[in-house]
Amino acid sequence: MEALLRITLICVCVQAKDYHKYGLIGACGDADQEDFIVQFDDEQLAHVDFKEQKDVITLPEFAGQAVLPPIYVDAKRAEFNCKAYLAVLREVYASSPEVLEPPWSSIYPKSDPQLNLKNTLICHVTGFFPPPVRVLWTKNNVNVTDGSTISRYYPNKDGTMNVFSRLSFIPEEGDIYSCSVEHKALQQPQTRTWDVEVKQPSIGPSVFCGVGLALGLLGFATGVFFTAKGNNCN
Amino acid sequence: MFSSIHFVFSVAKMSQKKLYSSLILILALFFVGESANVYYMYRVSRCIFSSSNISAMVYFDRTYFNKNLFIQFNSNLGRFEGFNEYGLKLAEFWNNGTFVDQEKDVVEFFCKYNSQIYENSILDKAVKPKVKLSSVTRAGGRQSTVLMCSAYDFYPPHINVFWLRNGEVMTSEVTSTMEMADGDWYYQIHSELEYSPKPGERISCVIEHASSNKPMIYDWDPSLPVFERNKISIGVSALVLGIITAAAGIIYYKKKTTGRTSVVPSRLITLPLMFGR
Repeated sequence: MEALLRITLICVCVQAKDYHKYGLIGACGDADQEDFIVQFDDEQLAHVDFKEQKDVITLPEFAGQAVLPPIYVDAKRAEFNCKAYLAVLREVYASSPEVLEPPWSSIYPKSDPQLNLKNTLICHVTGFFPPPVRVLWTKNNVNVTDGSTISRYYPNKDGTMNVFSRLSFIPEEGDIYSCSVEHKALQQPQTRTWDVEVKQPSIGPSVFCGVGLALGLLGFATGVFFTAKGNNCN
Repeated sequence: MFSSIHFVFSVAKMSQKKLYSSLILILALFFVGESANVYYMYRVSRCIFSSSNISAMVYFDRTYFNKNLFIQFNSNLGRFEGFNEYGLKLAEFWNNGTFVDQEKDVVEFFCKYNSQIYENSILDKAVKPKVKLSSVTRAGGRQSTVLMCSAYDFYPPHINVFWLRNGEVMTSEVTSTMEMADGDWYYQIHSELEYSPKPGERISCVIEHASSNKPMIYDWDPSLPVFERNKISIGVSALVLGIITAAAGIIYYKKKTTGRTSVVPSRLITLPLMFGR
């Protein structure tokens, strides 16, 4: 009872203050899934690319010159241990029902969309289990492969996962983009669409400017013409 | 830190042989079957601390299997806790071994050292949001106006967005999103205000964020945008200049021709104007 009270008090104190989290996530699964992520406040500082056998630093620009130590060797060891546990646990839980949670996705641009200015579309997929998910992008109903990336899988508080897929694009009036998410818990892909609806500047001021300039130029030419004519009269 | 990550993620100082034997020992208590299920396992080792007191640090080492937490080390308790039948057995086994002693040392060796590195490079940093205030057209042709206040590319995620009408906070007819992650450390948020515009009132979007020590206030200007106003100014200026130049030229020409043709009979006065002589 005393221990339980102590845990409760600690949790209350930590929740009440402005607290921060630093940590490591090591994950493994069937179909050669493996992940090793260094996190700070749920943001990714670095991860390991097991195929390339190297660390990938993902610090933001504002972090300056923070030095991250190498993590690949430790990540490899962590993965070995993870797979050892997984091999045992999959036997233990072989008869238990499969845990399946469908994803929920949303699509939005990274910055204020402006015509012909490079931007990024984000497809945030969350609440699913287990990984992986497959994210497919289309532009005007045509599949797009170039310029798309997918992040590592991050765990949510409830044990489900979330992931970000990003697509570089240049907004052009009338274009329709979509991201389709495929997952084991879905009968059919979940599709979200986003169309380029950049508020066009009204045509009135441009027309007025053009007409004003034209008439002004005509008036100026008329003035010059008559002035020259007047001079010729001498 | 190089050794400290290894320290956290190595499974005690047991050899792999010992690791397997300990797992199989516990496994013997359970029914073993076959399944086509998908399995996924992850381990989260996390140091939780307050920026005001880095020494009061809590360390959790949690292992999840198929979404469920099954065992965790809690530095406040100084031992492992199991959360299901298998987890309880494993916790009991680990609490009686050397692994628990290693986990107890993690706060000093791993948490405090690393948290200080990142506290210096990240905790004191804040990135100011890029804000756009615009009107949004809504289907249905209602008389009310919908204003959108969007803040992009800010960090940290905690932000407060609200609306003012002539300096008074507006609470009704306001809809806001949560802070939306871009997945690259940066965030965005959007707030909509639906209101019936009245002449002479001032509507403002106010943003409170760690990147500014005072609220950032953005007033809604219902008039044309600057670049559109500039176009009109250019058009008006050109037109006025043209009219003035044309008028001056014509007046000058008239004066000249009037002066020259004053001795000519009155019926011929119009000829130079008509035939451009």
